[in-house]
Amino acid sequence: MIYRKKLLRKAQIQTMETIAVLFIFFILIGLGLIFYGSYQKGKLNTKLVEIQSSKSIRLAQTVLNLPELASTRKGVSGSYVIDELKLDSLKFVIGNNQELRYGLYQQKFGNSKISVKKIYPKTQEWIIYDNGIQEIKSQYTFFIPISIYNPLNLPSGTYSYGLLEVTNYG
Amino acid sequence: MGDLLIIGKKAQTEIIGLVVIVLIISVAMMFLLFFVTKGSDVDSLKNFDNELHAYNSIVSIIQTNSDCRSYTFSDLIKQCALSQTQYLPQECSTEPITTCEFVQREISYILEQSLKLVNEEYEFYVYTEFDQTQIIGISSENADTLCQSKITSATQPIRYGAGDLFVTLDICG
Repeated sequence: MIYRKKLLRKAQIQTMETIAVLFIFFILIGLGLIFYGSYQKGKLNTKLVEIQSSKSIRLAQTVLNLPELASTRKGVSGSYVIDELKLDSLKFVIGNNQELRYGLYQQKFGNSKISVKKIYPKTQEWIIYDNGIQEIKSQYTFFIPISIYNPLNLPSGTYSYGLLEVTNYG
Repeated sequence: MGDLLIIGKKAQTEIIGLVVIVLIISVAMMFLLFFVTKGSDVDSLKNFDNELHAYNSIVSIIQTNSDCRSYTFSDLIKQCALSQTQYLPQECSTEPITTCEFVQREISYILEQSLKLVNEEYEFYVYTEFDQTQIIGISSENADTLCQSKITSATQPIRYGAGDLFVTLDICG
């Protein structure tokens, strides 16, 4: 009788031991999953930023190659030159012609903000297009140094230094 | 004899349990080591950004017309390389200033307004093909420490009376 009791007690202790081991084991697995999950989340966020920034870069390239903006007079090889007169005209057209704004440019530029800042010798800013969204989850801004050509400044026009700023909303 | 057998079997089971635990911990440690030592991926977009900023800044600056008689910076840099002590006409600056000082001041302003805006540290310098010493040298506040390690550089050669001169912009970090 005493021997049986002893055996039962031993079995109980062993069961408790097994439960404790399993408990620790599952805690370890849980910690591992949390660690892996946070690592993956970080990676995913980086990927999202990458996607947004590449979208902004693509958009900036599209803007720089628009015939509505690109200067016909080429400067130093490899430089991006925007015509100041075309800049004024495009800003006016996008601001006043709703058909073109929603029919053409919204398809091209989507939810973004495109502006050109003249930095030197004088400062001036043109916001060509601005179509933000109500709940901005993420945004990425991309800058490209450019030259702004004004053909009206005699004798052969002048170049100013500026920045093209493209913000993509997500 | 029977007791001894039972004890031996129990010891074996305990050893197997220990080995399993050691194995699990080893695998977990290997995973941890893998993630910790993997480090960050090469930021190709950042590199692309820096390259684009470096090259476009240089070409845009050298063709920009300054306030001084609408001279381009390319002309002013050439003038500076030819004679470093030559003063600019009074209409260009209220106080007497040499061409080199004027170029240094204006380009410093341009870079401050453009590259500093995007938190980029930089070093801008001009040298001739015969002499590696800098005719013009501009650097941002923290460039000394940051430019020691990672640099994206762009150089534009300009032909002038005595040969070629090189305009270089290093973007650091």
